Amino acid sequence: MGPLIPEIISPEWNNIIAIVLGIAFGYVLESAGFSSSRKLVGVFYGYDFAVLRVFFTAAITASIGLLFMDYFGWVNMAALDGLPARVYPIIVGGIIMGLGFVTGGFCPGTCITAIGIGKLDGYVFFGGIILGVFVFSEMFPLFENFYNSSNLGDVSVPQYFNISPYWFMVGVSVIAIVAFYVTLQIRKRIKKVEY
Amino acid sequence: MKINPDKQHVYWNPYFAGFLMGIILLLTFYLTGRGLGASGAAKAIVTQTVHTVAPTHTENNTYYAEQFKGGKTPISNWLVFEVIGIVIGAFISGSLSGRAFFRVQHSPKITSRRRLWFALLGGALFGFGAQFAKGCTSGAALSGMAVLSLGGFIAMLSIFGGAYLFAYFFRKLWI
Amino acid sequence: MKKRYIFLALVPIVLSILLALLPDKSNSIDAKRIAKNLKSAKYTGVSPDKLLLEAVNNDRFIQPDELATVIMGQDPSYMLIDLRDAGQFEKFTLPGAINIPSDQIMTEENRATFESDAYKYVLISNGTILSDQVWMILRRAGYDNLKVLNGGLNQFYQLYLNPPKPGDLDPSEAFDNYRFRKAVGAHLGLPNPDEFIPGGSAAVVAPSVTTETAKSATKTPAKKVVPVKAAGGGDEGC
Repeated sequence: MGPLIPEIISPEWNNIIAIVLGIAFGYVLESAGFSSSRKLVGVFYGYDFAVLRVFFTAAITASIGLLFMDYFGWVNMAALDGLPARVYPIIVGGIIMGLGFVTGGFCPGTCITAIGIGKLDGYVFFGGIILGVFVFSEMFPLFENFYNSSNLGDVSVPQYFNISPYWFMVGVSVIAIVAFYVTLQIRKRIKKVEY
Repeated sequence: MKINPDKQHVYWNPYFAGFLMGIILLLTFYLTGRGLGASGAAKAIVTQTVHTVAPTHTENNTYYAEQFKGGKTPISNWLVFEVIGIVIGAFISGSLSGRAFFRVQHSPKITSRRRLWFALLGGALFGFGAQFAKGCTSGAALSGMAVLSLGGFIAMLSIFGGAYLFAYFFRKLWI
Repeated sequence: MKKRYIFLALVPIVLSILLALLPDKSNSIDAKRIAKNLKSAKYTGVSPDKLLLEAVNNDRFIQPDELATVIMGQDPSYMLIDLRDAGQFEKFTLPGAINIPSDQIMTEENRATFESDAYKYVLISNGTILSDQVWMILRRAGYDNLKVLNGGLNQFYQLYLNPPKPGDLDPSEAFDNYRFRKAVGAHLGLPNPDEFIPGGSAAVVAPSVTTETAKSATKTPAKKVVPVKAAGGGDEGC
């Protein structure tokens, strides 16, 4: 039963697995066009919805896969690392990240793929991240209370609303497909941008 | 290898890429019990650098000190290795389709300098915001959503919501 | 729209609906939620005939010695629930016990206490009867991991305040047992009967741990202390 580390595969392999998974992740990200900031922000201006499509497809694939693995007892989904729901810090952080997304044109993962193919704006963006993290860490005592506030713990959405995770998954899939279809229609109406 | 310039802007079908990315994410969870991420690596780099320069300072700041718990060294964090992998993987893919060379990509309406300044600003904001949410788009939103975590969904909605909120003001940078 | 996209779009929906319709999710992420809902729902728990079967066997009992081991080891997987009223609880209880008076056992807040699967719940009262009644009510409502302290606080007290001394012909385990009980008594702050001052309050804390061998050597007759005094006055004997 997964996760295979540390019980089945020894932890020494952890870093090697990290690199291998990173290579695969980087390869797919780059091939999907995520190294191009103008393609990425297209989702906010309606000329390219690649981000939304890739993102949603990946999330749905992974979570349906995990639900099946959980069902067959290969992995205990409840024990996997989720994101502790500190509601307000996440919302504030998310909005700041959103602002960073439209100004910088990358998110950390995609900026690293941009670094991989030699985009100087990617390098600068990464420098910016370092700066942002540094500033945050130095100012941390100021935010400490807020940072730890409104923590609901590592709950899942179905758990929180007390619904079946499977029907929730059906809902997410339907929403994603509707979103794919709607964005397709939007893109047809918006003037093409060459990038 | 011969580089075909026409191939430069030909990317994979997004659904296909998304499916593969989902499988990789699934595999990551199955192998290691954790999700993918990226901003954590920047955090590790910062912490390690600050620790090398001023060790007592990192001990006094709870945010830094947390990362040293249990005798850990931040720089040997799982995410750092994963990020090294991403660079390699992106380079392989980029060179196969002739996209790997040094340049600044920007809208024809703005200069490179302006693009770089905004990239720095955006990076700083992203780095700052990612600390609040404990993860970025890949670490918090994507990996969080994969395990149906409430935090992941909130993160996804607020990142994209925030971006749509401000997108109008920065349209000149992109279109 | 291309046909294959429609097909592709159907794949995740069909797969997730399939998941929702698959039977028996006993070991899945959803199992806890289903179990919890069952517990919260009124009287959907254990059926009467099954409950009757459980009531006649003694599996639900935890013996005083087992409980003492739990207390001494500070085992976090046990939750001690004192069912007596608040007044008695305040006068004396076992270390780490929480107070849920038996008449408030089914309030929403208190029911929530029993919903975690992480604990074994030890029901404690002065005797066995009250604990057993509460066990019956909770079990019928579907809660599990419930234990009843056999003999209640009264017997617990007898055993640790004044453990029966083993005779010369008893096996060595009996002596080990005796020493363990003495040590528990000292840990719980019970007055040591060997050094008990007549007229002193029962709540006087035993003066530290004396070597047990020395104690068993001195053959001073143990003075009788009425345990119910310390337990806050005997009531209906439950």
